[in-house]
Amino acid sequence: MKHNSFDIVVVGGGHAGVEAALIADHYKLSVLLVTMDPKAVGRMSCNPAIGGLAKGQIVREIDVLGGLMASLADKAGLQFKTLNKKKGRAVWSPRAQIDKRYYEKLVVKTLDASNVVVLSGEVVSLLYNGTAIDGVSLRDETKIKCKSVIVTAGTFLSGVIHIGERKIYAGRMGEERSEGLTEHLVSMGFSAGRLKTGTPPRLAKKTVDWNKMKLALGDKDPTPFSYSTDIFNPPNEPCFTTNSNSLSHDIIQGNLEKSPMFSGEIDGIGPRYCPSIEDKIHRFPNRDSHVLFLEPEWKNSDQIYLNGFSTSLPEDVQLKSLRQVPGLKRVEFFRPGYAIEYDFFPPSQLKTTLESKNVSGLFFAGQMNGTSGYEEAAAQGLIAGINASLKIKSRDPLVLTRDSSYIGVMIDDLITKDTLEPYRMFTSRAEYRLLLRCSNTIDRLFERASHCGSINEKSKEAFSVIINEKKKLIGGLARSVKPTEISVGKPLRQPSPAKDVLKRNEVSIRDLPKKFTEVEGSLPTWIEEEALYDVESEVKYEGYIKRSLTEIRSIKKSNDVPLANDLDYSLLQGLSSEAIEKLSKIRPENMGQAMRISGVKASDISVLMVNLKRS
Amino acid sequence: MGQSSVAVIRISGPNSFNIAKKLTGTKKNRAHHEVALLLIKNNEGASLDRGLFTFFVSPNSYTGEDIVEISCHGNQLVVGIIINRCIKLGARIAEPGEYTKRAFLNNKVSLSQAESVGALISSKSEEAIIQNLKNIEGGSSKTVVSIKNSLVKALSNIEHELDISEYELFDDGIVKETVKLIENNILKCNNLLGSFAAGTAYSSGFRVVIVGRPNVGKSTLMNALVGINKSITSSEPGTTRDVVTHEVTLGGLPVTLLDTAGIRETKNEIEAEGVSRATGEIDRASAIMSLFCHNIEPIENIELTNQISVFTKCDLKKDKRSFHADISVSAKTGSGIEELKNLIIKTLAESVLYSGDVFINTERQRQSILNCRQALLNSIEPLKNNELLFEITAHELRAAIDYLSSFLGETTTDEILDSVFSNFCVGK
Repeated sequence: MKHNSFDIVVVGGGHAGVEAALIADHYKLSVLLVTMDPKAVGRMSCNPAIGGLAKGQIVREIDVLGGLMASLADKAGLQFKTLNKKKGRAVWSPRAQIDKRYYEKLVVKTLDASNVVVLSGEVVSLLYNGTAIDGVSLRDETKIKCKSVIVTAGTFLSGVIHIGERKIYAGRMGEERSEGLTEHLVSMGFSAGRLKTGTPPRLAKKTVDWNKMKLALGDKDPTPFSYSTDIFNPPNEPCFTTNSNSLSHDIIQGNLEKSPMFSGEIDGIGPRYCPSIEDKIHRFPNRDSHVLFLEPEWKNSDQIYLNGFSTSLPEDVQLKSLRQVPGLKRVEFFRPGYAIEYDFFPPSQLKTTLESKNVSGLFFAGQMNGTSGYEEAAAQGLIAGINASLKIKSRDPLVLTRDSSYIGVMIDDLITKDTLEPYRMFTSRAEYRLLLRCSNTIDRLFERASHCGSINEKSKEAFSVIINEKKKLIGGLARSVKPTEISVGKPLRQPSPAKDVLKRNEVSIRDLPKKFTEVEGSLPTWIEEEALYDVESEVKYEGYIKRSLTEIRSIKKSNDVPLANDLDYSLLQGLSSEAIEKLSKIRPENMGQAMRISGVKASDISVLMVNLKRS
Repeated sequence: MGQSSVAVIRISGPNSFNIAKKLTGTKKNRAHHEVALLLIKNNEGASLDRGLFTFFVSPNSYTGEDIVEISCHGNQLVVGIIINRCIKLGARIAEPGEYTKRAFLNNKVSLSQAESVGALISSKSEEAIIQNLKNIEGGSSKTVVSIKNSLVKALSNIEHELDISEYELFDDGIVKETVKLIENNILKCNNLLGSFAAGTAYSSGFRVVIVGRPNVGKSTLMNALVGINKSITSSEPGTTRDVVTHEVTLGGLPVTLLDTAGIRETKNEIEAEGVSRATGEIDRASAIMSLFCHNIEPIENIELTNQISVFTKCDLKKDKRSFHADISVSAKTGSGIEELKNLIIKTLAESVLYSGDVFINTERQRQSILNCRQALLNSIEPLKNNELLFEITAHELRAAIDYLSSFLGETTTDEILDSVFSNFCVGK
């Protein structure tokens, strides 16, 4: 290393760390990425897929905000499929099978091409001058000065792998864990907890009876994640599915107590979380079958990822159960499913910028904040990276609201809700789901990205073109359609505005005369199709959208009421003791956050408001 | 505003003494607790009334602001004119609970004191207090909570389809089960809405609405029931252009009689407003008298609850159509009027014998349930049409659940401060 002083030090080289480092590099800051294994940066440690329900939307958001994941996924994709096409317009989610090995290579290549310095090492403590971070200290006692630290330790902090009753100390199977940093952070006043997450077994391809499997291909007309992807010809590598049955369920049911991951009855309202197979069987006793997906881990992979069978049962139970499943009679493992237990830091200790509330210049991102999933991690890394950079440049931070993006929903949830199990994004977490469509990601985030400078000039230009074309399309719908110009549905009695015609259930935008769907600029076909579809959605959902916007306006008022970080809640007359405890612990940044804290009731909010108005 | 011998008008705020000066044409500065008998004048300087003015100087008043209290004659017309004059001089009508809210914000009362003021004001009768207690301790809240829980279950079914199953095939059984669940809750909402009339009777009395086509004799009948000439009557159709109300006691029951504008298609704007108010009143009524006579048909196409069908003008001509009526009357001769009163009493008494013992009894509650029911109806639309727009179903279900949360007072919006005080009577 040429010098030992940087603007930003990123601790960890997973999906969060990589996004954080590269965006800081984009801001022309000097960045050091410290990782325990430089060969494993950007590793996909679990499923060989990116995107999916709600996660696909996040990947798009990452793309529009200047992140990396979308364009790499487009390059490393083996098959692409848009999920939930039949269930609504807002829940369409792109997903891709990914060649894990190639993805990793692309990450290494991107880092090599950047100015980010990658260092093999383990950060064990932070240098702290009492108010702000000013460096890190490595296991070999190297000290590195910096202005900001972004910690993205993933599952490596005191990681323990569980396979039945077997325990292995590791950060990931076959990789060493990190020790000491947790204790150091706790000594600085952070509180830490433990979480568990799981991964399914990897099957040996040649031990599967492929004739008994159902073929699952991707879309014939695939669409990429990234708006900057211009060459896109992914292979449509097949996946396969089979179904678990009652025989296999019985074996799991009989061995539940051997599973350290089994969480038992989860109180609350219903099946919202992505559970292990043992949880699924326990929670849906009426279902005698669950779909299992067999996915290649890379191109021509001899190793098959068994999606839908995440488990921490003992290896022999896993095998016994699976051998009851059609096509898996003689299955062998490369590696059994396992659960990993690791330290996390309850993210209510962070601000919406992902900076610590107490320690200036220290940011946390990714799985150590209690989330699960590459996409959630990458998004946090990107936001932390942007905000750490903006802070160094003394510029306003990027704060994403719940109505702007899934990333905004996630961060708000993280800092206001209790984290009892790994947080996975779902569309149901977004109360303004109908506004957060994959097809309007640019419309939602372009201005913010452009304002905070996280995207380059080329993207800015490309995004403005798309936004303008959509505006023109919408404006054009004010023109009339003549009765002779439309052949779908009930005949028109008189010329009517195209917008009204399009509102009819049976009419789609392509049914309108050509002049309404003509795009002037030259857009790639898929982007043009997406723009048209989104304009159609705007029109058809106009009523719902208006209602949501009214709600947002009324809530915005409370988001605009700031709450001082040093407000003494115990002095406020009339607050419930639970509210005092929660509010004092979380110290919300504004009234909107306070409202969303679990355990803070409407009556507490009234008291809070009344006291604020009074003072 | 009811009739009483003395009315009190209270003006609070930094400009209140100025308004009093202009109102009385006096220039004298007033001291705290000063009392003066002054002439109240209109903008041309003519006297309207004589009023007893009491002055309270900030901060030693109920609200902590300068307050002027005007005691004047209880005549509604006079009071209305004085209030209008004050508004012209810069005052405005208080929001519900605004006085107490100002008192609170000026540190004159604590929150719990403020709340007890509200409770005191809103509990009009002993029965109402008992009924309210019942509701607080369970009753309607319990029912609403159970509807809400069941809707959360329906929502989680739908969300499961949207969020968990990465599989394009959906579970048909779940969809059917969800539709059934929602339909069941629509029925429960209907039931609660049905209890509204009975529920409100306890806290604010019964509302009996008189409806019928123009000139069928609604106002004349009202006058006959009340015994005074309150509505303007004439043979010109559409004379009554607003809802005229009168409070009477029938068989010991507190009853508000409402005389609605003639329901008919009209191009006259004022009258149209009256007609729409009439339809609003019909929705809220405990009982409805639907009038018709020998040459005027009863109104149709409106769903009427607890309907009493009245054949009017039976002194003029009594044809066989009167057999379709529950009762025949003549306001002119008085024939049938006493029998009609008894029929009203009987109908009202029966309406309170609503089978459930859970009531909703405020307009706010009724609106929440009404909105919830509408959202539920919207939510099953796509499922029934075999369009699998689960996101729309989910959107409507969430809206329905939100309405129930607002019923239960669980909502946390920025209007909370206002809502804390808005159940209070105006002016306290």
